[in-house]
Amino acid sequence: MRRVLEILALLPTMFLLLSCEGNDPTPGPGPDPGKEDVLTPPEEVKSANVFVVDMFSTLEDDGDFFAMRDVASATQHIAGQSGKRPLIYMFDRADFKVGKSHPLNKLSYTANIYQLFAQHEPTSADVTKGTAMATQYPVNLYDGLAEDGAYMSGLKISAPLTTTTPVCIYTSRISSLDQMKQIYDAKSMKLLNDGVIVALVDNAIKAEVVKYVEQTMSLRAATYGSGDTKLDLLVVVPPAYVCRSIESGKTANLPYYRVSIEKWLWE
Amino acid sequence: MKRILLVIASLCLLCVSDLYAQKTVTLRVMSMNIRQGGEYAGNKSEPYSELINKYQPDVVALQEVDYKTTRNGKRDWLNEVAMQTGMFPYFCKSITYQGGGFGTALLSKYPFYKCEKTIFSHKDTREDRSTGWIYVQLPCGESVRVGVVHLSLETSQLTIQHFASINKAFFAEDTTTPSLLIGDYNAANGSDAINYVKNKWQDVIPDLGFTIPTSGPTTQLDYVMGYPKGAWTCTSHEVIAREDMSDHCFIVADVQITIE
Repeated sequence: MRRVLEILALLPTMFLLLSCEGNDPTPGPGPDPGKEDVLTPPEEVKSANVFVVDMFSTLEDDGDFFAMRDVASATQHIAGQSGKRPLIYMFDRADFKVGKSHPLNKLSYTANIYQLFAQHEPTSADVTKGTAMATQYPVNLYDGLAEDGAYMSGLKISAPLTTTTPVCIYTSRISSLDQMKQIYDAKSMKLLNDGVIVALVDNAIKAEVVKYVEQTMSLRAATYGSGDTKLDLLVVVPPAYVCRSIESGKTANLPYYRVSIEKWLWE
Repeated sequence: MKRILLVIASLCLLCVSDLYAQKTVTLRVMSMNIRQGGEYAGNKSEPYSELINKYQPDVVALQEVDYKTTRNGKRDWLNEVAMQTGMFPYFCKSITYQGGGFGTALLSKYPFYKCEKTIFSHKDTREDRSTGWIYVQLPCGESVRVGVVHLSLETSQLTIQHFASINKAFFAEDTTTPSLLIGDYNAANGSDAINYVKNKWQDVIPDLGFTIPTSGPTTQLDYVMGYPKGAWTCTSHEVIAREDMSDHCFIVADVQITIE
């Protein structure tokens, strides 16, 4: 009985401790009194300040992209680019199986590229879903986060615009608004300055994610998708950048989306 | 009444156990100074991959790695090993060498979501040296940071200066993630340099023994250091002497940390 009373005496402290947990202030989707209006970019496009990202995806989340497609076609696509080459190529999904060589390794070896696997989910002892990232440009930084269900990885590259411009291009798979909130909490400063996200978002939550990006994060968002696909392409850019176009294309049996982004505002 | 008290007591105990939940993270690491891009094995990748596959480590810290140099036939040695082992590679170039690169590298069994590097450059050293580290989330859900190091050897003072610069870069933005820094410290146990390292880091395998030369080791230059100090334990280790692969013995160790 004495032990029970001791535990009972501890109860108020326990409840106090527990009630403190989980009360961390997280920005809600409502208007932020501190946020600045995002300036409107000019209609005229300065092509010298445009860079391109190629995202290979079926937008259907229908399994490993390279399970039924040849990595050699991807290699040919990369090798065949001329003029303004894409800054980054992404392949979704390109799942990783523990102990098996990832398609990125072969791609990197044959196409002479730098690589990063961006995981979408907690690391598994078997298969981890993710997006393969590849670039021919030297990488200044491999950045990312893996926190509480939110995953995002990116490559910081000096983009050859009118002035060499460092830009960190991230990818992620957004399947809940909470993930976007966690990304904002962890990377808000980078995303406001030189962070660009080219991600895939669940069609069903696209509208609320875009609203959150624009209203709370004070960033620019663009999406691409027909509504019939399970996923849409989501492009998030800082106020000084604008997504000019997203065009679909195909190399062999590899469907891809070419995202053109312009840095329009210079200090 | 008794039943209600019991339920409340059980709830309290559950809460207490949740607050003090502990998780033990275990990983197998390897250190391999492959000597001049693997020159003892004809700069081939296969012998090293076979050894890695035999031990199945979670992370391998490699030193003296060539990237497309003349002497290795312009091959991407690290990527070859990555393909042969099914691991993810991260190359940290120290210097441009023979038309390619020379430096340190990491291989990870699991994806890494972030990686960084720092390069030590000093007028009194014969070459620049890179230190790189990766962040890996393990299947248990916990993240660890594992780095590779190859310290300067010209003077003890320079070795210490080099490590001080690594500490500065390594802890600039993160002092909380459990970390390992593995590789060739180019300093004997008990030296001023290793004593300096141990100010902040824990020698995770204090009874490792000698690691060089492979023909009959007489000195320890290779270490597995852990942070936070005192939190890591080594459950087993092996020093692998392969005269056909390097002048340094390789280290394989199972290490653990308990995270609250």
